[in-house]
This record gives sequence, structure tokens and C-alpha cells, in this order.
Amino acid sequence: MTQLSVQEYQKQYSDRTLADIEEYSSVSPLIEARDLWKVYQTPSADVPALKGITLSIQPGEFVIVVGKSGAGKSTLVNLITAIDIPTRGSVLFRSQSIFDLPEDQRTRWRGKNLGIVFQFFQLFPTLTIWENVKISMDLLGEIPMSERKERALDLLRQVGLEQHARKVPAKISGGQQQRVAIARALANDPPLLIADEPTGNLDSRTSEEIMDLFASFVARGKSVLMVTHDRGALKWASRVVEILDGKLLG
Amino acid sequence: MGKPGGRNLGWEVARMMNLDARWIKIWRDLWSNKTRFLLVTLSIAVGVGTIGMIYNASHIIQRDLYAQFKRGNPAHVFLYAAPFPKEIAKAAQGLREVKQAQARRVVRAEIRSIKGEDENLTLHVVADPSAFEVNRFFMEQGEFPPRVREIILERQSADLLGYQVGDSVLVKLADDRQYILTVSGIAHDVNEIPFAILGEASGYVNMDTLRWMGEIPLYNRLEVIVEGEKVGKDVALEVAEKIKKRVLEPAGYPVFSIRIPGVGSDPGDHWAHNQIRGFILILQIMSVMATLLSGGLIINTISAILIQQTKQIGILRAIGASRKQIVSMYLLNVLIFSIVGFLLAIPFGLIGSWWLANFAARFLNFDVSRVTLTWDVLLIQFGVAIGMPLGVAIFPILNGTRISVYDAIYQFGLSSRKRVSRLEKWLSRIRSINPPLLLSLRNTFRQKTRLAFTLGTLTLAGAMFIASFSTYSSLTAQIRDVERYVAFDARISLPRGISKVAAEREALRIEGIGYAEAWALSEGVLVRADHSESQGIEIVGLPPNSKTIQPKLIAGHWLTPLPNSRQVVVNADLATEEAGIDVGKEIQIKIGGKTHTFTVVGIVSKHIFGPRVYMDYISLTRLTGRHNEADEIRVLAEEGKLGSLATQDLVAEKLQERFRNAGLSKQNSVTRASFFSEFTEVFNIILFVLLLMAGLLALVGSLGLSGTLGINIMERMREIGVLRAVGAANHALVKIVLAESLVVSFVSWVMGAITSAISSPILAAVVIYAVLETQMNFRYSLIGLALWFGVILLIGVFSSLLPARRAAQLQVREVLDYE
Amino acid sequence: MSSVDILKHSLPHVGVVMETTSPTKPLIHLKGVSKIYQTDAGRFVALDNVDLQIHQGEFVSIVGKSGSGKTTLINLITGIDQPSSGEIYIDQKPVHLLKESEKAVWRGLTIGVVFQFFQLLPTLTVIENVMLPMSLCNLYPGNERLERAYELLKLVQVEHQADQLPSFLSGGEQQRVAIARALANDPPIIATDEPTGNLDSHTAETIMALFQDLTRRGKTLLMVTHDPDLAARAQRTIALADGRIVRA
Repeated sequence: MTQLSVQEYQKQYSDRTLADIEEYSSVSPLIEARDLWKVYQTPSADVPALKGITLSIQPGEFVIVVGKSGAGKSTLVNLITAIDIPTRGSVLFRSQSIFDLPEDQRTRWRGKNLGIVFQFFQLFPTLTIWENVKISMDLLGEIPMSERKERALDLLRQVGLEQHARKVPAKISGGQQQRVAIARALANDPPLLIADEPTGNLDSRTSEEIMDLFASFVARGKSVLMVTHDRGALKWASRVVEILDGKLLG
Repeated sequence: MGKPGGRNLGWEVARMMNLDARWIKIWRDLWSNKTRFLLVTLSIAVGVGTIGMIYNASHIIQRDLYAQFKRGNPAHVFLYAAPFPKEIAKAAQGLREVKQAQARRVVRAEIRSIKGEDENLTLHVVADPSAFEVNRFFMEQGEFPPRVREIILERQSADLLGYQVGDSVLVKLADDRQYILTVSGIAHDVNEIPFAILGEASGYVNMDTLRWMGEIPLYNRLEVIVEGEKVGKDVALEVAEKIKKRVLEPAGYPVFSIRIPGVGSDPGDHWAHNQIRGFILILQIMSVMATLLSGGLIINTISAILIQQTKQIGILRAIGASRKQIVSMYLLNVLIFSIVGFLLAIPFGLIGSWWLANFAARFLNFDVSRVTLTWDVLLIQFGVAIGMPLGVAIFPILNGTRISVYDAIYQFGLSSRKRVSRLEKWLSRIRSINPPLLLSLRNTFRQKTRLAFTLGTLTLAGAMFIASFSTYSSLTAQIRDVERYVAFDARISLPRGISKVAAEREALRIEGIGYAEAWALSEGVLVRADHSESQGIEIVGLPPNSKTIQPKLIAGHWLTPLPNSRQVVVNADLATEEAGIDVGKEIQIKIGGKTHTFTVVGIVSKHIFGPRVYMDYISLTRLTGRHNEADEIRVLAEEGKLGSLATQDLVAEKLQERFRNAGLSKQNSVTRASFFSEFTEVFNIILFVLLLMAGLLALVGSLGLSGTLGINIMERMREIGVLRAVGAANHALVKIVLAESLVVSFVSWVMGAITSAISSPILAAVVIYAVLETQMNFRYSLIGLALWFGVILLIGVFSSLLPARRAAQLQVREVLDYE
Repeated sequence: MSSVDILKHSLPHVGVVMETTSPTKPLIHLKGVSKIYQTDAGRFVALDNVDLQIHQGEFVSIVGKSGSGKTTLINLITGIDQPSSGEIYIDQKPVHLLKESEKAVWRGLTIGVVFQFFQLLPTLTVIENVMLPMSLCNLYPGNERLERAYELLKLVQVEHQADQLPSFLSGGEQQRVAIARALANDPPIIATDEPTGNLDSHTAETIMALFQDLTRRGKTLLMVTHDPDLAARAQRTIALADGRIVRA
């Protein structure tokens, strides 16, 4: 297994991204984290998990944040998705400060603009595959009722699972479950997909298929932010950022 | 847990109706755990069904019993007088205040049952069968009126005596005159206290039959219905007094007593009206408790669901569900439980009320016409079934959805917590070299709200259990108190004209009788300061040094041996009923038409069987003019000692035989034990109902405890996995769960013991008032407390069985993979 | 009791007297071990016919990507999971034949497990957590347990926190307590899955140093990790890919 350093990756992809950056330079970033801090308070001491992270993602980017366990990757994802609240700092989505929104609006914002993919898939066990995709639309209620089922089946077709639409999650493999999770993340047509170790529980072949799927959605205009410790995944990224002990390197 | 992949009806229904996936999820989640679904809906059904059962049953009892009673046109007041002709009734009816008056003859007799036992019988003769209008009964078989040498039996009496129409029966009158009558009919008489309760059969004959039996063809009871809508006790007594003064006495018929029918009832009300009301009150308390407990169970279950679904709630939030949406999802979940529970509760309530009403009908001798579903009961049930679960579930739902998305997804199931409560810090100071035991002890107090519900239920059950025993022991203590006034081995009533000396001498001649004592009895009324008169009072003339009574003085002193001193001792029954009676005060008592003044020197404890005045034997016989006569002889096998059951029976038999042979009395003798047998039977029924109630509470509490331990294990799966990983064998895990269960049980026992100090006197007071219409001394039952300790330990062990098994069955890998 | 002789046993002390194992005989011996998960979605081969020998005193790291089977391998050795086929001998004891409840006691005596998330029981104090395995396996006289637990805490340098609840400790301290707990019954083997996964790099370093110290004292150490830097600290690295050993 040959391993490339982050610098090498950046160099390798710099040609391609340079053009992109020029293309988007007139556009404001899709999402932007500014000086994010997260300090966990334990009875013994304050443990900082993130120490001032600043990161922005432009439309159409595939950004991978790589780091070891305990480096603060998951904390970063949780803050950018507003699942957790930062101790300091802000997250701006299309220049709107997310943490200034009241809780319920933040939830709606998340449902509309972010598609989240978890390491352990997190599908609802009692719902069938297509219902798992549809529930996101039902919750947000922006897609007309009559179109929801059709759209759910269409998304499942895009991830190659239309023949399993009527099965429950337990009846399909882990890789297939992660595809469903991706379809669910795309249900409300969000501009940004956020994935936390999406291949962490999958074997190498299946992991590659999932990464290809993410790349295909980037090719169709979505942006992706992914955190992982798997350096093998880096070749799909348009930009790689390394995180260590709560700080971004370089 | 059911397999999520399992298909069933609910699954297909949800699929067919292309519903919002949220509702489908709720529906499927419900179906995926059928045991829990059943547990919750059943607990709602039990609580709400009990409400239906009790309200419906009381509705049925009031409708049918009271309607059947009213149909008989019940008398407001009875006047017992010297034998009078039936024309007196017409004269009484001439009074403006009297709506109806009817003459009746009641004769005390005995009837031999099919088993050959002599039972008490009241023979009734209605003056004018063609104008039989007051306290009517209705024929079920045969014709009314009966012909000569025929008898109509009350249906419950006939049933329990074992007779049918056409049978011949042996009836005995005073002086052992025996007659054979033919049963010509069966009647249903709601006016009479049933045979099953009073032990007195009712039979109806005509006057010719009675004359044939050697009785004078006259009447002794005037049954009066007073004019007016709602007649109060005082009005009824006033009217009776008027009849007595204007009709009976001027015609030369002295009145012995005036009585309002029933056991403390108001005029025109069913004889057990107050007792039924009291009993329904007890049942209503029970239904409220059942409802509260099912509420507790619902809270526990909803918390369990929310704990199981914490992660899913987090994911729902992460994909855009607002808190409002999630709250409404889980409220819908509860609503489904509620509706199914409500639907189950309706038939449960109907069947229960049918059973309860029939139980009462058999006991009180009335007919249940039909079981109906009334709108008001249905509305109450609906309100409780829907309102209570939603009301109690809203707290865990709001709590469960308040948790941050981050905590819901990532923190759940992990043991690290940020805050440590004072209680936990205190518990961490307890030192032991046995960490598994410490684990149980400290785990018990980790989920305080959940623990509070379980403890609450078990505490309530314990308080109820101990209160039931305390009520019973208060009742028996009271009975033992009453026993002081019935301190004989046997007693026999004497006819008029028997000499005291002769009776005592005869009794002492019997081998095996060591002590005999004759009493004089009379009846009187208390004349109040405003010259109104009380109901009849029993007047007892006894030797002041009597050995067959052990008076318990509440105030003052017992009678001193000073003849003609005009000293009286009254019982607490009279002292509480009538105002202005106290030690040192004077009271006016009318005996045999003359009013005398007495000084109260003492008040003795409650007798239950009615107001009584004690005075010196010689004083009473002087007032009644029956010098040296006795009305009752009381004997003891051995002076100063109460005999055993066998002794009582032996003494009673010898006494009866000797007095019969000597021509002194043809009455049956009575033992002390038989005097109390009916009391204790009623008390046993009460104890049974109360214990049933406590048992139900204990069952629900045990379900709650088991559920709580189950949820605790579910929440601490990882910890159990860790225990396994560091070397815990099955028995070690079982011990940890069992110890936790026992800690909860023990704490609930302590709390139950404390609560029972309040609940016991209240329950005892309510029950005793409902049953006996009196206040009594309270006695706490330590036996109940000890028994509950045993029961709660068993509950602790049984409740931990299933959760412990579940803990032992967990595979370490599954537990550690648990996300 | 000195901190040296609290770790005197390097072999299981179950049974009466252990034959001194010759250095050639492996402490851990896997013969043709496979693990296949039957799920609704189909057959999944997590481990495919694995043969492996580990000797006493070795510090072995097990590496591989997610899904390569490294966690399954360690779960089989610790008896947390049951092989689908093959034989597992630990100090010549056939672990694959033990029942779940028997395995719990055997594991308590033979293998100390250290988890990624520490997994200390939150309601027990630090020292009680360390005493717990002794109680559960009924090892050491009652009065010695406290003393021994204290010596172990001293060994991992958290004795000053002995009477605290775990939530008052930092992550690194909690992991040290977890290691002390793993050593409680003086097992010959310590097994750990991503022990530093939740710690910052500096704290992770001190934990690794502690592990190396334990191997010097004769313990056999098995460590699952995906971090090549950590794996390099071990004497021997077993690499897994798709259920097979690619380098041993």
C-alpha cells in the first residue's frame, strides 16, 4: 500500500482545483466554519476537542478532512451540521450564521440544506427502504406529497437499489444500507452532503463503491464534506485537509 | 422485541394507505413489540375498565335495587304496639300527615331446614291481602294470599333452607308448638334483610293459619308512609309519635317502640342504603388507585420506548424533524395505546359490572335487569383513557425529545456523565470490599424519576396492604371490645314471670356450670330537653358486681351497689348519638310510659349493637313493677373465666335442655361465639375485598419494578458487557440485578410502612363507617407490616427474574457492538 | 506487597499447578479459524481460515482497514465472540468449547480487556472498578483486594484518584484505570482494541509506554489499531485484509 502525504495530494490535485477556484472565486462559500472551538467540561478538567478551526467549502467541492481517532473529526462534523453547539466560533451557510437561528429553524435549515451520512448508516429499522428515503421529505414537507414516492424510488435507482425498495434495512448488506443512507441524505435535494466515516464499517471493495457514488454526486453539482481516518479515500477528494489534536494542519 | 422484518396485518395496512412515513414508522414501531403493546393497552384497559366496572355497577345497583325496593312502596316508619285490630290502620290514615298506614303481624318463629337445623323465621301476616300496599313483596311462584296451613317463603330463604313449592315444612312457635305447613309459593321481598345476611328467614301466612297455630288474630306492627316528597328522620318520628298519641294510645294499645326501617337508613330508603354507598365509595377509591397505577405504568413504558428510540430521535432531528414533529409522533403513539386500551376497557367494564352487580344482587337479594352502557360512564372512561395517558406521557416525551441531537446520537449508552448528584456522592462514600454489591446499591438510585414511579407504586401497594390488615385488626379489636359485654359462655331468654332466684338456682344445678346470673331487660326512650323522644334504647338491670360483663369505662365509674340510687351507666353508642350526655349529668328516660330522671355515673365503650343503659337490677325491676323477675339468664362454666368454643356449646346445650325440661324457657340458648359469627363473616368479606385491592396494586407495582429493571438493563447494556468482559459469570449478573431489585423492594417497604401510618387509620375509618356506621378505635397491624415485608421480598425476587435472565443472555459481542 | 510482585503471574492460575510452558509452545494458538456472519442480507466472511501463534511476552499489534476482520480476530481470542469453525487454544485450553458463562470467568482470569471508550462503571469509584474483577472471579482474600487494587493504581500512576468516580478523571487517567482493572486478576494476556482512539496524541504516547512496560514484565499484549505509527511500537505486527492474514 503506497501512501501519499497530504502535501503530495494537494500538489497532485492543484492543477484541477485551480481552475475550479477561479471559477468560484466570484461566488461566496457554501458553508464556512470560523474559528470553531469545542471544549468539553469534565469534572476534572476542561478538555478542548477543537482549537479554532476555520474551514470553508465552495460549491462543487469534495473536501475530505483526514485525521486519527481522537483528533476532533467527529466534533467538527457535529458542529458544522449544528448537531452540537460550539464553545466559540460560528458557522455560516450562504453567509447566514447558523447558530443565530432559533433551534427549530436550525433544524429546518439542516433538513433542507444538508444531507448527513453516518458511519453506522442509521436507517429506521421498521421502515422499508423507500419509506426511509421518503420520511425526510415528509418531515420537511417541501416536496409535493404526490411526488414523494416517485422521487424516493428515483433516488434509489440512482444509488442502484430500486429492486430492494420494499425491503427493510436488516434484509440488505451494510454497503447497500449506506447507499440507502445516501439516497435519504439526497431526499430534499440539499446542496451539501456531509459524511462522518461513511466507509468505516465497510470492507475495502464496498468502500470504493461508496466513494465512487459520492464522487458521482459531486460531478452532478453537489458539494461533499467527509471526515475519515482512511487515507485510501483521499484520492476521491478535490481538497484534503488534515486535522490533529483539534487543529487543522498546514 | 419482534423481528423488524416480520410482516403482519398492521404492516400491510400501513403500506396500503400511502401514509406519511412518520405515521407509518409509529404504527410499525408499535407492532414490532407486541408484548409491550399488550402491557400498556392492558394497563390502560384495567384502569379505565375498573372505572367502568364500578360506575356501571353502582348505576345498575342503584337502578335495579332501588327501583325494585321503591316498587314495594316502602314504609317510612314502624310502630310496634300491643296487639291491635286492623281498623287502627284506617284511623291512622285519617291523620293529615299520614299518606298510608297498614297493619301487619310479625311473629318470631323457627323453621326446620331441609338439613334438619332450626333457623329463625319471621312470620308475616298482612291485614288485608286485597289492599296490600305497603312494604309489598312480589310472587315468583304460586298465588297470594296463601290459604290455610300454607306458607309463602321468601325466595332467598326458600333457596337456603332448601325448599320448593309443594314441600312440607316444620314451623315452631313459642312454647315449642310445632306445625306442619305446605309451601304454596315463593315471593321476592326486597324489604326484608336477606337470610344470607341476618340469618332470619321470612315467611308469609294468612290470619286463619296463625289462629290455627294458636296465636291471637291481631296485629302488632303499624307500617306508615308519611305525606311529602322527601321525609326526614325527625319528621317520620314526629308523625309516628302523633299516631301513637292520637290513635294507638287513646284506643288502649301501648306502643313498645318506634323504628325507622333499615340499618341507619333514612325513611323510605333501602335498609342498606348507607352501607351500599360506603361500599361504592371504597370501590371508587380502588378505581382511582387502579387508574393512578396504570398511569405510572404508562410513564414507565413511554420512558422505555423513548430510551430505546433515543438514537432514532436524534437521527430524525438530524434529517430535519422539528421537536414539535417528534413530540406529535410520540403523542400519536400514546394515542394509539389509549384508543386500543379504551376499546378494550369498554367490554372489560361491562363484564366486570355485570359480575359485580350480580355478586351484590345475590347478596342483597335483588334482580339485575340488564347491563347497559350509559353515556356519562362512557364519557368518563373516554376522558380518562385518552386524557390520562396523554397527560402523563407528555412529561417523558418532552424530556426525551429535549435531549440535544448530539447527545441523542453519540452519548446515549455511554456511561460518562457530566454531573454527579449529591445522593450519588453520598452513596460513593459507602465502602465495601464487594464492588458488585455497591454496583447494585448505587445503580438503584441512578434514574431517580423512574425509581420514584416504581417506588410510588410499591409504596402505595404496601400502604394499602398494611391498611387492609389494620382495618381488619381494628374491626377484630373492636369485636373483642364488644366481647366484654357478652362475657358469658351461654345465655337463654326467659318468658315473663320467671323468678330470678329460681332461674339462677336452676342454672347452677347443671353440672358444668359454675356461675349464673339473671338480668332484667326493658325498653325505653330518652326524653330530650325539648321533650322530643329518641328511638328505642335497651335498658339493662344487672347486679352491679356482674361477672358476665367486663365494662371498659371511657369516663366516670361503674355502678356502685347502692339500690335505688338512680345511677346509670350509658354506652358510647348512646353518648355519641344523643347530645348532652356526660358523666355527672342528669338524663330523662321513659320506661313503661313513665319518665324518670337518672344521673349518668359512667360511660362505657362502644357496643355496636345499639344504645344501652345499665342500671342496678333492683332499681329497674322497681320501675317496671316486675319485682324479682328475670328476662335472661347468663352462665359461665367457671366463674371469672371465659370458656372455649367446645365449653360454650356444651354449656349452651345443657342449659337449653334443663330449662326446657324444667318448663322455664323454650327458647334456644345462644353462645358467645355464635353471637359473633355473623359479624366475622361480614368482616372476612371486607378483608377479602381490601386484600384483593392491595394484591392488584402489588401486581401492578411488581410489573412496574420488573419493567424498570428491564429498562435499566437496556440502558446499561454496555456496562453488562463490561462486567462480562472482566469476568462476571451468569450467577454474578443475576445477583447484581436481584440485589438492585431487593434494594428497591426494601426501600419501598420502609416507605410503605411510613405511609401506612397515615393510610391505615383513614382506610379503617372509612370502611368501618361504611359498614358499621360508627367510629371505632384504630389498631395498627404489625402482622400486616411483617407480612408485607415477606410479600415485597417475593415481589423483589420475582420482578428480577426476567430482567436478570435477559442480562445473562446478552452476548458480549452484541453488547459491545450496541450503538 | 511491592509493585513488582503484584504482576508475578504470567500464566493463568486456574487449575492447580501449571506445567512450565516450554518457550516453543505458543500461548495463543489459532488453527483454521473462520468467522462467518449470517445476516438477512447474506453470508459475510469476517475471518477466513486463519492460523496464528503468539508466544508469551510478545507485544503484537493487529492492523488492517475497517472491515478487514481485525476486531473479529481479537474478539475470538478474548472469547467475546464464537468462531464458526476452527480451534482456539489459549495456554492449551480449548476456548472454542467453553460456554458463555464459563468463558466469562475464564476471561476474567486469563485476559484483561482494555476498551477504546475505557468503559469504567460510572457508579463505582476508581479503586472499586479495579477491585471488581477480583470480586467477580473471587480471587485474592477479601482484605487483600483493596491493597492490591491500590498497588495497581500506583503502577499506572493514578493512585491519587483512587476514591473518585470515573467521571472526574481525564480520558488518559480513565484509560490508565482501565489498564489497572485489566491487570486486577494478574492475567497473562492483555487485549485491547484501539486503546488510544479517544485520546490526544500526547496522552496516547504515555499509554503506549505503559503497554511496553507491561510486556517487559512478562505480559503478552494484543492491540488492534488502524494507526500504522502505533502498530510500529509493537514487536510484531499482524496485518489483515478482507479476513485473511496478509503479513504476520
